[in-house]
Amino acid sequence: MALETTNLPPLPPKPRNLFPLWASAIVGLAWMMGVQLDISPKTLIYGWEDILEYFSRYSSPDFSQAPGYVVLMLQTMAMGLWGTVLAFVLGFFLAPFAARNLSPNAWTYNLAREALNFMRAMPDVLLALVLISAGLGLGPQAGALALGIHTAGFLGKFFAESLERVDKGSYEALDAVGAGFSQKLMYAGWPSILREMSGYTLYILDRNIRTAAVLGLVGAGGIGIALYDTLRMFNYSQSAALLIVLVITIMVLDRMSNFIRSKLQ
Amino acid sequence: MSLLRLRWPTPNGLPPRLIWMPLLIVAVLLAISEHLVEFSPLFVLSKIDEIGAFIARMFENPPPLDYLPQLAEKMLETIEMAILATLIAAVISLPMGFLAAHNATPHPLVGQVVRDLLSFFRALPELVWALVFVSAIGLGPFPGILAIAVVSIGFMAKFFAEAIEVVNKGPIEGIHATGAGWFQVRYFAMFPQALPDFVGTLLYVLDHNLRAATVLGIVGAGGIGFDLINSIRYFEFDRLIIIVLAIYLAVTVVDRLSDTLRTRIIQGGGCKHGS
Amino acid sequence: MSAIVIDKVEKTYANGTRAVHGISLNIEPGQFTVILGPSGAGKSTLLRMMNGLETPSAGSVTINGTLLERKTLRQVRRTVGMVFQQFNLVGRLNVMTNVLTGRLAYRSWLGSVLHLFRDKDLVIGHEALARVGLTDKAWVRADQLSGGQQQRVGIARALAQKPRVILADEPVASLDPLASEEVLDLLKGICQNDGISVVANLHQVEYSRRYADRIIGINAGRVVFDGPPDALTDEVVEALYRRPTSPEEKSHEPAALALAHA
Ligand SMILES: Nc1ncnc2c1ncn2[C@@H]1O[C@H](COP(=O)(O)OP(=O)(O)OP(=O)(O)O)[C@@H](O)[C@H]1O
Ligand SMILES: [Mg+2]
Repeated sequence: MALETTNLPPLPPKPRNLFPLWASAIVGLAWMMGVQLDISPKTLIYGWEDILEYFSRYSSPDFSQAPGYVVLMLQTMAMGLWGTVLAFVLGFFLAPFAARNLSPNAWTYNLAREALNFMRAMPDVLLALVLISAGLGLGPQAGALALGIHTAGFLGKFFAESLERVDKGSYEALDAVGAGFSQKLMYAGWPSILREMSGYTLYILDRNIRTAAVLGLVGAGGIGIALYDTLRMFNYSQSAALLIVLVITIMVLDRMSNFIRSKLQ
Repeated sequence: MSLLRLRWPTPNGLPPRLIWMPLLIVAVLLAISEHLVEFSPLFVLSKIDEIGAFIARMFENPPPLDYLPQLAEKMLETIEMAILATLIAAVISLPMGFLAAHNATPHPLVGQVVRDLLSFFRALPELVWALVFVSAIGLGPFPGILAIAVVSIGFMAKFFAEAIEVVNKGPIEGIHATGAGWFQVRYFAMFPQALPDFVGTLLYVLDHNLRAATVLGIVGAGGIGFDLINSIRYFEFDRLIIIVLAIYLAVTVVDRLSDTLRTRIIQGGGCKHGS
Repeated sequence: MSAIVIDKVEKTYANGTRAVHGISLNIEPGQFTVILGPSGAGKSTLLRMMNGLETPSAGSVTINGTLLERKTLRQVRRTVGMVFQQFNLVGRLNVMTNVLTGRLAYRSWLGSVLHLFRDKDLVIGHEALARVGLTDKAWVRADQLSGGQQQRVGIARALAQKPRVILADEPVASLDPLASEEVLDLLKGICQNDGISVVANLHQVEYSRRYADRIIGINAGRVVFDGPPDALTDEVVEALYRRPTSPEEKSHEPAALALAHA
């Protein structure tokens, strides 16, 4: 095989390909982290049979208390709904101030953005814990509030970003007729992003219902509390029934929100 | 008289249906579920000063400096958990995404099964998976990583499959026409086109996973969460405040970082694959 | 032996559109064949059936003596290069990798995972790039080239397959006149010097007359003209681009065809 290329115009020097370097750096780093965290996939490999045996304990769900679980599931969903409505209201009022092109001045802009950022940064489980211990007591109310505060951070940020993306001309046209801050919002801002807003809100509703299911673990009501209790008491057949109720509800909701979202587009 | 009458700028003078219908539905749902949530704004307002006092107590004492080393160690563990779980999930999501995408799956049945499996992975939140894995393999960061990875696979593979489904058909045809095989078409025509979306998702998931990792300790699955719940349980407010601050810092840094990187990637490669 | 034998091929799409109504053709090796016809005539459909991008509803296609069917699809495609109107390069890969995808059919799937190719393949890729005059762009991302350059990369990809036939579906429809002529000169040169048969769909009568050895006129899924460029008189062109009339009339042997064979 003649590998003669001398009579061809030469190729330019090949740019250095940094991919192998990056890849090995990442693998090396991951390896070090694994060692430091004392992670041994061996546990998984050697303990394979134990793990299978463990999961087989869930194989006989006991639905004798199913009606109660359904009520708990409804409570969980209600918690997610209330949290989302709260988040929507908070986000609705904060977002315009966190949008660079609408915010009245730099102060309000930074303040609103930092507030939203802080709400996002506080895990909802932590917020629920704090609200419960601070006086709201056990129950779904604290959970709904926690979800509302945490996801208002997300909705506010999403709304603000959408408001920033609105065509500049729409705002300028209203500036030109002398419209004020709230008028610009009601006649150019919100109407332009209605569709995106509903998409984000549905997504957050979906997310909040999932998360509401675990807030029970810290005492904020709903199905999580029952799950925590049955798992702690090694009551596998009850746990299995609870998990099945949870999984089915969430998968149905997932389908529904996908459907509504596809209709929105 | 009619001067005072207000009406909406619609043909019948009523607000558009697209606005009032959802509002009405939500209002009805809120009314129905009110007793389930036991939500009462008045009660919350009456507790405002108690919550304020609770927060004020966090600032009463100077921060316990002797706790800082342990805090640093636990925060590092939390971050490492998030990164490792994201990496593991990324590696598994790539093939899963191809199996799940309508236009890349080897068989429609396989696609349906994989999509259902992914939906199942996503259905349970990290904390529930963590609870299950802790019961199965014991306490520590490993079950936490597994829990985060499972949920992340559910999301990443789904998003990746969606990115694969919308790639440009031209290059696929171009590679097909050279006589390339099944795998080669996916690898050389679909993968490069879907990659920027995948990296964007990866950053988004990393951001999410760090938040998730901070609370997994509540069920004993490693990270700062264990200290967090203990400081609340035992009313160690001085600890609580610095834990909260540390979480706030870490999450904010990663949030900003992934935001900037994501916009860079979208701008860097988006011109040809905008749609 | 003919390079391509098309035997009573028909194509009806899933939505019921009959794009090709029984066409039989022999394409001789080393010829530059142009398929000419109005929009929607079925040119693309016919061309795409020649490498199995579409499957005929009836009839058969034989390439260099191999019957095109499911089993032989990859083997046939390996020796048939294709050039597209929209270039169909993978924009995010560099030019050289795009050219080397023409070698994929010669590599195992496992061998291609790491983007590693044999020296021999790299030489072939280099030669193909030199042939289209783009060696200096070898490591540039394909989506950063101009349209004309991208189409030349498309041709290099086809050349890298070491094909015996190149199919070109409106290769110059997205290019300006200068780039169009560059691309067609290139295809013509490949046809003449390497003995590769080229079958191209074109819109422009002028280019067809200038480059073709043989012109096949298609209207409403049927061959209505088949002959050398000289025979493509203005009347024939006008007949070719006339809107299809009633189905009864179409079933008659069209006058243009008789004229060409006279
Ligand atoms: N995938 C498809 N599904 C259904 N019908 C199709 C498909 N592709 C083409 N057709 C139809 O088949 C007929 C022939 O189309 P074809 O693309 O072959 O025409 P063409 O001669 O290449 O036209 P143009 O010059 O516009 O590219 C048209 O009526 C077209 O609408
Ligand atoms: Mg066409």
